[in-house]
Order: sequence, then C-alpha cells, then structure tokens
Amino acid sequence: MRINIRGRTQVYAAGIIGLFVLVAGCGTSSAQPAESPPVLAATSAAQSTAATALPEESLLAETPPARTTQTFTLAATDVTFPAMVPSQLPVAPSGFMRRWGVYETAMVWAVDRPELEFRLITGWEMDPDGRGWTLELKQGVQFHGNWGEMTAEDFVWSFEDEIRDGSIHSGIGLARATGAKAEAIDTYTVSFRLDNPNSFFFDAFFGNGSGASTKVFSKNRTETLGLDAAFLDLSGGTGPFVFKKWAQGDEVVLEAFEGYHGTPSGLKTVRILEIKEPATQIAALKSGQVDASLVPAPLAEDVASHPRLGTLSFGVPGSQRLYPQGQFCMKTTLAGDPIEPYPRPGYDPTKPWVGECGNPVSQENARKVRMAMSMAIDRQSIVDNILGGFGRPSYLPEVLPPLLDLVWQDRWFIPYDPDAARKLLVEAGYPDGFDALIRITTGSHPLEVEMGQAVAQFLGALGGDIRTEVLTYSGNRPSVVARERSDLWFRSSSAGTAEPPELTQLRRNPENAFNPGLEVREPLAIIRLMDSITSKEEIDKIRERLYDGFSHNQWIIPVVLADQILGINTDKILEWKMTTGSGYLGDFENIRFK
Amino acid sequence: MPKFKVRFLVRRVIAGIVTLLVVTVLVFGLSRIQGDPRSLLISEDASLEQWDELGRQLGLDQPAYRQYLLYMARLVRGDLGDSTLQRRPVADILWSRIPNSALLAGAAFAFAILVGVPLGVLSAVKRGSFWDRGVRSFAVLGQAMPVFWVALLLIYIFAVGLEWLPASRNTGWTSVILPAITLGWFGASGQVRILRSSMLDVLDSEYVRLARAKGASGRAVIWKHAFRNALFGPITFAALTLASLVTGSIVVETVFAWPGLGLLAVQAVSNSDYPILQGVILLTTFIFVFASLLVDVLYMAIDPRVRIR
Amino acid sequence: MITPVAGPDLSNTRLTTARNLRRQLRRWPVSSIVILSILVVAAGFAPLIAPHDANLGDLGDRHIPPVLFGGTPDHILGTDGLGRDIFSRIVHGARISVAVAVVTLGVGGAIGTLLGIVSGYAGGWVDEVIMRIVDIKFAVPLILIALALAMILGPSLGLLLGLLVFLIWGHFARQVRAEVLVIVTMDYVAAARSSGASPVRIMYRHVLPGVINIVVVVGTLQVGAVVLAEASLSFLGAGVPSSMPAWGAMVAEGRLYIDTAWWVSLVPGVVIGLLVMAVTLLGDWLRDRLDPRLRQVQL
Repeated sequence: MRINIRGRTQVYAAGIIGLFVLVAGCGTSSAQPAESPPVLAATSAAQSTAATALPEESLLAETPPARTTQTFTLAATDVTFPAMVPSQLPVAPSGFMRRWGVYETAMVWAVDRPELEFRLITGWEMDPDGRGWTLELKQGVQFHGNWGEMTAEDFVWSFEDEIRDGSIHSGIGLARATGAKAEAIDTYTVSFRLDNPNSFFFDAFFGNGSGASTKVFSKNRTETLGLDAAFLDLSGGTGPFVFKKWAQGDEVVLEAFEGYHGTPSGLKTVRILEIKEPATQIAALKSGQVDASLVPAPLAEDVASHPRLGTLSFGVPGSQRLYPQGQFCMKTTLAGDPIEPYPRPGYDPTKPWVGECGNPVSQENARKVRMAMSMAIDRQSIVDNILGGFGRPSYLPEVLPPLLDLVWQDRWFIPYDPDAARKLLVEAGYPDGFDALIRITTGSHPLEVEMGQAVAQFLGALGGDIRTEVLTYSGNRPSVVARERSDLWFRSSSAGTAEPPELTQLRRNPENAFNPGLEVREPLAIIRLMDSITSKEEIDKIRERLYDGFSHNQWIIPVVLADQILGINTDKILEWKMTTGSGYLGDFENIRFK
Repeated sequence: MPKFKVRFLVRRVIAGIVTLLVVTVLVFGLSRIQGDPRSLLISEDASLEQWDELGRQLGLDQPAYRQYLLYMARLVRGDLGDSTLQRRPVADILWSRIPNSALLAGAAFAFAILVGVPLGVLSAVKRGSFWDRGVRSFAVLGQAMPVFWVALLLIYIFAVGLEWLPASRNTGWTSVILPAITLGWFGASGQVRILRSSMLDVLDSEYVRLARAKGASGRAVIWKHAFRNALFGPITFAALTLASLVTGSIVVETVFAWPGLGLLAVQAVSNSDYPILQGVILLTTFIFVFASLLVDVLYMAIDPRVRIR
Repeated sequence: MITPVAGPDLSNTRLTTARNLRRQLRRWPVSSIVILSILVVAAGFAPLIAPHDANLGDLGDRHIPPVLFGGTPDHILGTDGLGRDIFSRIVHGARISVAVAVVTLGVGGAIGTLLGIVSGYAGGWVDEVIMRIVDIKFAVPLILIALALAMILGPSLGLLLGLLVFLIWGHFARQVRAEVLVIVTMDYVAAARSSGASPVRIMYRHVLPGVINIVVVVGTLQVGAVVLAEASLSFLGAGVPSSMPAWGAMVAEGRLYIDTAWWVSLVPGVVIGLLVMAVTLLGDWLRDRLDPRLRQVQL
C-alpha cells in the first residue's frame, strides 16, 4: 500500500513516530546504566556527617593481563545495597562482601572438613590463662587499589571499627560482654585480650562462620578518604576479587585481583545480575543467559533434566520459623536497666499465645497454645512435599550459639500430633481453636510463601480461621510488620538476602516496631552463662535451662531448615565448593571450570 | 495562530500545571503517612539531641504546610531528595534509568502503531474474511490476558524453548523485542479495534460511496478518504496507550529485569526507599501531562475545526 | 432494532426453521452470553458445584496434572502447589471475580456517572473542577500509588477494591459528560427547565435515562480492565490476600511452574481471557445496538 505522505496528518504522525525513534535511538546507545562504581578521588575527602558526593576517578590498580578469561554469570534477586549514613555505622563491610571474595577474614572453615584454614594469618597461640590470643599475620598481603600492605595496625583498626559506639555489627554484644581489646604488638603480630575466657570469641571473630568475623580493610584508606567515601568505595580489601562495577539495582561486576596473596582462581570476571522475578531467573538459567541461579525445590528435577544444567544443594544456617508476637513481659533490658513504659508497646494479652505478665496460670495456658501450634505442624510433610526433600525439620529456634552437642536432647523433638495439640488447646481454654493472621515475609528462600501457607493449613486444622498475608518482594518492611505486632509471623532467618542495616537496628531496640517480641530473660541470660562453662553439673544445669527456655516454652516455633538449591550450567562448571555462611552465594574462587 | 487556539493552549497548560501541583501534594501527603523518616536514617543508640538535630535538618520541626513549601522549593530546583538506601540524589538515579524506559516505551509504541494500524486497516478492508477474523482474534487476545503472563509466555517460548532471543535484561537491541511486544500488544489491539470500527463507519459512509461512484479506485478511496477521516479515534487511543505504557511497564520491566523506571519503582517499594518512589510518581505524571499537551496540539493542527471543550 | 431483510417464503420447511434460528442467533452475542451465564451460575452455586474445598489441600497431592494429561478424575483440572483442586478454586474464584466486578463497577460507575451528569449539566466552574479532577486521575500512575499504599498500609481487600474503583470512575465520568452535553441541548430538557423543575429532578428524570446506554457500554468494557488490574496487582503483591482464590492471584501463584506444572497458571489465565473476551464482545455488541455513534468509545 502506498502511503500518501502529503497532507499534514501524515506528516504529524510521522513526526511523532520519528521523535520516539529518535529518543529510542539515544536510549540504545546509553541504555546500559552507566553508573560508574562509587570510587575514590585522588585527593582526600574531609570527614563529614552529611551525605557525601561520590568522588569521580578510580584508584583501582591497573590489572595486568589475567591468566584466564573465564566469566561467570550469576542471577540474584537483589543487588541493591544499603549505603547508610556512614558516620553512623561501621565501615566494616557486610557479610556478602566477604563471601564475594572482596574482603577476607583471618581464617575460613574448609569446605569439606571441619578445620579452619589460614587466610590472613599464618599462626595463632592462645594465652596460658585462656583470656586471649596472639595472631601471627601473613606478610606480603596487598590491599586493593594500591593501598599498601596489610599490617597489624590494619587488623586492629578493622576490629575496633566494628565494635565502636554506634556500630550495628553483630559481634558488638560479645565483644562488649568480654571486654575485648586488640593491640598491635609489632608489624605482623596482633594480640587480643578478654576480661573473661570465652569459648565463642575465637570462631566468631577470626573465622568466617558468623557475622561477627573481622573483615580486614585498610586503615590508611579509611583515614585518607574519610568514613563516608571509604564505606561507599569498595576497593580496600585483600581478597581475590575487586569490584569493577556496582550498578545499584542492576548488576555487580567483580574482577580477579592480580595482586592476590593466595592461590589465584581460574576466574577473571564475575557478573551478578539482578533478576527479581523468580520465573525469569529460571528462564535465564535455562536459556543460558546466566550460569547459575537459585532454584526452588519443586523445579530441581526439571532443571536437572535439562541437557545443559545440573543442580547442587547446600544447607544454609538459617531456618524457617513462626514467631508468635506480642510477648513483651520483659521488665529490664539485658543490662538490667528498667524498661519504660511497661508493659511495652505491642504487648497484647488477649492473644491466645501471650499470657498475662506475672500471672502463672495465664502464662502456662499461653505456653500450651504455643506448644499446640508447634505440634500441629507436620514438618516432615513440608520437607517432603514442598521442599522436595531438600531440607529437614527444625526443632531448635537457632538463636543459640552453634554448640549443638551441648544443647540437643531427644526431648527437644516435637512430634506431629494434631490430636494432642487439640487436647492442649482444650486445656488452655480454646476448645474450638483460635483465629489468627500469619504474615509471611519473603526474600530469603523461594518457597517461603508455600511453606507459610502450609503452616497456616496445619494450624487451621486446630479449629480456627487462620488467614495469611504475604508481603512479597518485601524483605522485611518494618512499618508493615510492626503495625499489629501481636500476630503470627512466618519468615526465614536472616540467611539469604542482605538485611539492610536499619532493620538490624530496629530489631535490636525493644521499643522498635520491628522487634519480634521475643524478649524473654531466661534464654538470653543462659547464653551469657555459657561463657564460663567449666563443669558437668554446670553443663547439665544449662541444658535444663535451655530446654525450658526454648523447647518447653516454644517462644519461637521452629519449622524447617530449608536447603537452597542451585541450578548451574554443567557444560561450563565442573564443581563449586561453597563454605557455610549466609545464603548470599559466593566463594567464586572455588569454582572449577571444564 | 487564531486567538481561540492560543486560549485553548494556555488553558491546557494551566490545567497541566494544576495537575502536577495536586500530585505533589498527594505525594507529599503519602510521604508523611508512611512514618518518621528518621527511624530509617539514624541508629538506635543516637541521643535525643541527635534525633532532634536530624529533625531540624530535615525540616520536621516545622508545621506541615511549611514542610510542603520547603519540599516544593527543592522540587522546583530539581532536587528530588536523596535515596534512603543509596544515599544519592534521586534525580541522578532517575536520570540514569530514563534511557532504558524511553527505549522500551518507544519500541512498544512503535509496535502498537506499526502493527496495529495496518492490521486495523486490513481488517476493515477485508471485513468478514479469514484475515479479519484472525486480526480481531489477535486484538481481543491482546487485551484479555494479564501482562505478566504474556511476558512469561513469550520468554519461555522464544528464549527458553526456541532460544532465539535473550530471556531478560537489556543486553542489546535483540533484548528489547520481547518486552516491546508484550508492552505494545495491548496498544496494538486497541488500535486494531478502533481503526477497524472507524474505517468501517467511513467506508460505509455516503461520502466514500460518492467517491467510488465518481470512479476513484479502491486504493485511493481507502487511503485518501477513509483513512484520513478515521484518524481521530486512533489518535485518541494513542494518547490512552501512553497511560497503558506506564502501567504496563512496571510489570513488564519487573518480569524482564529491564532496568527502567518501572522496575526502579518496584525496587524502591521492596527496599522501603520512599524518595525514589516519590520521584518516579512525579516524573511519570509530568511525562503524561506533557504528552497529553502534545496530543492536544496535534489535534488542533490536524483539524482547525475541532471542537474545543 | 434492525429489521430482518425479507426473503422468499420458505416458512413451511424444517430447514427454514433451522436457518431462521441461525439467523436469529447470529444477531446476538451467543458465546458471550453463554460464557457469562456459566460464570454467574458458578458464582452463585459454587459450594454445590465445587467437588473439593478451595482452600485446603493435601500436600501429598501437589501438582497433579489435569485428567486429560495424566491426572486423576478426582481433580479434573489438576492441583496447585499446595494440593488444592484447581477446578474448585476456579469455581469459588468466580464468586470473588463477580463480587469484585459488581462492587467495583457499581461504586465506580455510580460515582463516575453522578459526577459526569453533574459536570455536564451544571457547566461552568463545577464542570471545570470536576474535569480537572478527572484529568488528574488519569495523569497519576495508579499502579505506583497502589504500590506505595500497599507498602505503607499493607495489602488488603479493601485497599484493592478502593484502587479498582479509583481506576475506572474516570472513564464513566468522561463518557457520561460527553453524552450529557448533547442531551442538555434537547428540547425536552429545555422544556423541563422552563416549567420550573429543579435541577436535581431534571437530572434524574431526563438526563439519567439518556445516559444509561453509555453507562452500560462503558461498564461492560471496564470489566476486563478490572479483572486484569486485579491480576497485575496480585502479581506485584498488592492484591487480594493470598488465601482467597482470585483468578488473577492464581495465575500469579503458578507462574514459577510455567513450563512444568503449566496448568496452575494456564487454567485461571484462560478463564480470565474468556471472561474478558466475552464481556468485551458483549460490550461491543451492546454499543452497536444501542447507539452506533458510540463506535469511538473504546475504554
């Protein structure tokens, strides 16, 4: 058909279309989000408390030609990282940056045997009185970005920054409780002294298994750039990878650090792409756009049967739990200061699982309700049917330190027994069950919604009306979760996505909305007691109190420990050994290619 | 330009400004409902003095109307505040995402027009035939399926199944095809249906029959007379398509991981990053108002006799 | 009414009866009426029709395919991720869809029609103000506001209904007003005015009947918009609470298994498609029958 291009109508229409094409054309050329990584300026920036303008030029070391050109592409749900007011937070990098190999700790747990391997140290000695350690640092460890060699001063600096006032570092409680102090004895020797012996300190701060672990970064860099710029700049670590690009909400690109002090990996580039929609993640995996992606258990078989793909599973330390909220009977903080106002906001004794403070009968009834809820959940069924066998039932709320032998006894096992559960409810005064709302927050595990809905179904069998509300793509929205704090909350523990620091802040403050309401004195006091275990009688006493606090009372109702399954491109990848740690995928240096 | 046209344009511009002002009030109001921003900015160990000081810095100690004026003063200067999470100016973040959204919107609009218009004409001209029915099915289908589902279907057919196109993200010109089709299908359907009914009206009209009777050939009749007179509906609908592009782009960008403004809004929600969401709302409203104005100008240019309300 | 064209008198043959019947039927949107009737019946008698509970499922029965693809007759359309019967959920979901559509269109239509009539009849600054409000409503990206509100207030059925009402009232207002502008020029309106009738009475007795046609047409065309909006909002997490078997939410829930347990999304998706197509075609037909001038009305 010949289009008559004369006439104003067609001209204007063509003009509009042309305008769009023009804009689109501009869009193509600049369509890649050209966000340069927040990198350093050559001159120092004054320390300031206001939000800082990001400096322009890069001080990243020029990378000499790499040994290999392997690129590894990974899909992630979220690559937006909090850049909170730096002067109010520690500069200590978040856990995921260690997992990505940008920062390192003194030691790491070996992937296939229960041993600690040295990374930044070459040896350690415990002091004779058991109240300290001396660490021998590795020599010749270079920081990224030409910030020089790692010395004891950097190690001490990194530790002290993590525990300073205003820090939200998860190790701060332990460090304060033990009165820990670090000192640089000479250039490559660091000494740690505690007020009392503590069996957790060593692994917590020098290993890589906990959020408390000390990630070493350059003191020189922090002092030169100031806290703000130093935090936002990501090039001051010692690990095998450097940040090349960090486009918020889009992708992260890591590159091999040629000056790495350890064994170099076979990998040159790592790209972590944000793909929020899980169905698209799977599609990207299947179509070859990414080399690896988390896969929900029901799809594991399908992915494994794809010609190019395979699966591997790994356990994560987090678990899925149900929090009955509104239990605010705590009268003092951990330090002993009285809590005002009392009872605290959110305390709701009208809820079946919250007893009246100070009323033993009411408290016992509430306990029975919680225990009934726990017994009504068929954990094995959830594991078998929703997780496809990739996981196991959980009976521990996992707020306890990782000393399972000390803690576990057979009586912690909660049988699936809905009849017994109903009997308990009758005793507690709820013969027809009770109504409740379960809020399900997502963002950590792909099957949280289904698990939460399954829990709701099981609880519904007790007689009442159990509704669910899903907060998708939400991670955790404090204002929403907090609005009615006396309901039930189903979530994964923090293994998985990086929790924005402000949420950690909010959770710790008892006044804050986000607090799950579990402020019971006994279990927390028990943990402190475990510092000084010396005799079998002590151990037995502690075990008794732990059982009473966590299992008998079911303050937090554990549900399952869901494994994560990774779908990988088996045409390209031979194996990938991952250490335990948070659910953020990392340890890229352990990937072996075909 | 005749006086009434000028008056009309001025009225439309004023209307647009009023719209924008109302939206700023709306957005400001929402931001106050959502809670005290300080709780997200400051650590729990901060002292009362720090809390108050931050409040002073943010202007929170002022009455609401003054806060609004402060907010408007910054807005007019182009300062949309800072992202809570990224600590960067919202304006910078929006700016970096606009090219992607523009590319997608442009491609989708092009698809809607370049596919919808010819198919609409084809369907009208070959009324009742197999072509007509096929095109109408295509059109009805495009307005009857949830957008995210269409998106996923296309991905699974063309990226996973056939492996012709990338599954997600902006990786080059091939990666805009599937998102553009998903986003533009609704608009194409609308154009087909409108254009078809408009042209049927015109083709049946006395005017065209007269032209035919005078001996004008089929093609000339179609293009010279029918098409031009049938254009008002499609142009109106093109303007409406704009609105559907904005709403649709949020879902489409989320499914395709396309780094535009729509995905930015979803990310902002999931990160509780309200300033960004605020910025996206204001920007999209502005674009819509501006585009509506353009359409009004276009109307006036096409037909000087157009009835101005 | 369009009168049938006169043809040869074959009224005495059985073949003619069939042909006449077909001719009669072709004038009506049969498929639309059939589909919508089924829907209404399903909504009304859901507990009697649905073989299983829509909200409780056996975890051991997850992802059973439809009976024609290897499933069991016990679940003719298969089961979803929690073992719930999809057919039962579809049937109960009809209730939700009908309820949401009725409430939304009723409230939104009423508000829009009222404002349109007032705006068109009163004219002047009242008209200006109302039309400005309508413009603003169209300019604001509703889905972003929905996300923001879901973020602040949390998702709920009330929020969803409110959002959907807000989504559609503007279309009613605009179209009704355009119609009213024509009606007020009619002689009978002028006569009523000069006889001293109050404006309210005039609007109610003379203007309203004249706009019924367009209200019905716009209403049918908006049903599709409402249903699809519900689906998109569910996908984004701002939709109905997840235990309610709304069709849009069902499509969203099953999207992860689009190439394994494809029926979980496909079945509700097809149902939505049928509903929207049926209603749209019905709306087109109504528009053509009631007033061919309305051909330009699309949304």
